[in-house]
Amino acid sequence: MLKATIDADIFRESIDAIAALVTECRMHVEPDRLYTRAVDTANVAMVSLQVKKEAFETYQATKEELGLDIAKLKNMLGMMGKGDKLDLSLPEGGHRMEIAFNRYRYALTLLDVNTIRKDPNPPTIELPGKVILTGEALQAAIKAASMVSDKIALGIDPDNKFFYMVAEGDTDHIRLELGQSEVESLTLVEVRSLFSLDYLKDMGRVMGKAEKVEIHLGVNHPVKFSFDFADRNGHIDYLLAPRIEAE
Amino acid sequence: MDWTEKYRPRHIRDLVGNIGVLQTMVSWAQSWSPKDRPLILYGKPGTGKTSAAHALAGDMGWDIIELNASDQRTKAALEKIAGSSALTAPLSGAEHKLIVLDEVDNLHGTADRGGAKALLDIIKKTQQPMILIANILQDVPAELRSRCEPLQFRSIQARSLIPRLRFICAAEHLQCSDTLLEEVSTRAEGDVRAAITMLQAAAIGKKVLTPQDLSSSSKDERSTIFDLIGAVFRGRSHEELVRQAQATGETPERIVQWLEGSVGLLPDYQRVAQAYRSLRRADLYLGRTIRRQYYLLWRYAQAIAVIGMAEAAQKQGIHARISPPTRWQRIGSARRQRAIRGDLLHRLSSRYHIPERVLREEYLTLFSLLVEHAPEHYVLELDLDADALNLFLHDRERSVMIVKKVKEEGAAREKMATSRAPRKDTSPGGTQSTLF
Repeated sequence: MLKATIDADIFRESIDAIAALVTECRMHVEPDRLYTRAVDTANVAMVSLQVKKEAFETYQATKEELGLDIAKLKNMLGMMGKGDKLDLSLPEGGHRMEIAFNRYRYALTLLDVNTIRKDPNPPTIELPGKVILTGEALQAAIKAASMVSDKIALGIDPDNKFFYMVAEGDTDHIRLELGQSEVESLTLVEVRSLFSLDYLKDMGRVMGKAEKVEIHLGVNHPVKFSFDFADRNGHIDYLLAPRIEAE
Repeated sequence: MDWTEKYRPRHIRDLVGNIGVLQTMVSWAQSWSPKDRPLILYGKPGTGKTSAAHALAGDMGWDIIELNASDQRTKAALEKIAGSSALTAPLSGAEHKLIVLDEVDNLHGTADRGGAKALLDIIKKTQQPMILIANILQDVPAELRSRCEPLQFRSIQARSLIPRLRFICAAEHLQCSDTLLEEVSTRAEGDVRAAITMLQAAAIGKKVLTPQDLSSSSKDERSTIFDLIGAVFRGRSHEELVRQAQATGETPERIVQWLEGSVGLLPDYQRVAQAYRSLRRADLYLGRTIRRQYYLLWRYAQAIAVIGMAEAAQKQGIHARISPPTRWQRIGSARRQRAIRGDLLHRLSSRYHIPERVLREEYLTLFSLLVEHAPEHYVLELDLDADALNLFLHDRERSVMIVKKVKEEGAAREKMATSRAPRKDTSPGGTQSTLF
């Protein structure tokens, strides 16, 4: 059972975050929160999203697992205006969720959860390097890198005390260095990994709205982007596998 | 729940049969580096190809990404999924991830357009181990095959299957007699999946299984012409042969021709004669079928052919490769020859204003002598290719050489000429006088 009211912008942000990677997901409904974890079809990126009860204006729920067609929801988001209120309601064991907004009543048929990939195991990897910067700066860097290449290296240089991003194209090259004073926090360990911009561009659009993003890095290890939304009542983790540099 | 999924082997050591192949897979995985070629696992359905790939990934602690025919496998989809997977490290922090592409012998049709080419590109640059899976190796595009290491999965012998079936019965708290398990494993014909499904179907709503429970659930009939010829030479029972001939879905004409093609495998003339006696009789029935348009006769033709051939083979078995009737090749090449000949006559006829029939009946020998005398001239004049020239010269190598030489000279001349004048006019009137 689920009965809740939420601000359209928070809902939109949640769906956008998931839609950056997958077209459908298993949404877990619990008495005090909603959460989901999903990997994309190529097993290259993972999203974990949690929206606490406090992010909603009203929230009443019992434990349930919903199969959401994210692509459909994303289309529907276009119909919502800024500041609209969204009423979600799903009867006990129902297969159809009603979403009411701005005089529309949208009945969304849920997917059978058994047809959706199972939740991936939470990865257990150590990522020693950590940087915190604004979402805006991160998105700008990703945009810049995608002008010259299809991959980007992220790393920390502990000797010169800066965080860097490098994109090397066939002919052009772009490099950004941010010193300790230009980021919010920086752990000084030597780390570096290479990532595909295809994925980062999609994630960047979501992360651009975040006030600050925590980046966790390792040596040729996945990167984890961690950030809050909806007044810290919502939290998103992105995990992205590194590209292997062919020798 | 589907037992084939429930009891899918989790480890390589749980798989039944094909021990040598499995060992090869394990050592391939253990020493894997990006320079190693991907594997192609091929063999009949239910021999453990997909299970082996999954078990291998499990044993190695690798992640696994699987794409099969139910996924879209267009160029774009393959590049997005397999392509980006092949170039990235695993998300979970595992050492590698295994990319499994199932049913690669079905990479065609509009839905998979460009799939084979995309797959080839991925194989060239992958940084992760890959396994391709197919039923029939010959149906995998040749360029893919040549870049992979083929490993054949053979049918599982009935006796090696029984312990696995007994284990499943125990796990499901079923009482099964040994005769039942033997029956199941024989009927499955080396297909483990079929055996387990058969067992599950028989076990619905029962705690004790007897061989009678099995009667209603029998494996789907699937048979190829190769199976049929093998069975004929092995001397299976008449009913079995007739049923199998039916199951191939080939017309009796084709079956008779295949059988005729394998007559050469019989050891002596007496048996060849015996085989031809029944093939001839079958052919009579085929003729009558067509003449009278009475297709019930077809079945007699088919039965006479397979049973008669089986009698002639006297259960000797078959050891040589079964290949399509050579007659088909001969028909094919004869047809090609005819087409070349027809084309040549047509050209001569319009060039020298002689009817084709007159050319064929009276002048062809004369032309042969003329061409023999100055082949280069005629190649140029009639724009002959090597096949056509060969009809005059009857010397393949010489024809190819002459045509090549003429072409090279022509190209050289054109190069010189383009700078000055347009190409020389070669209208019929201009050169006709040289012949007569």
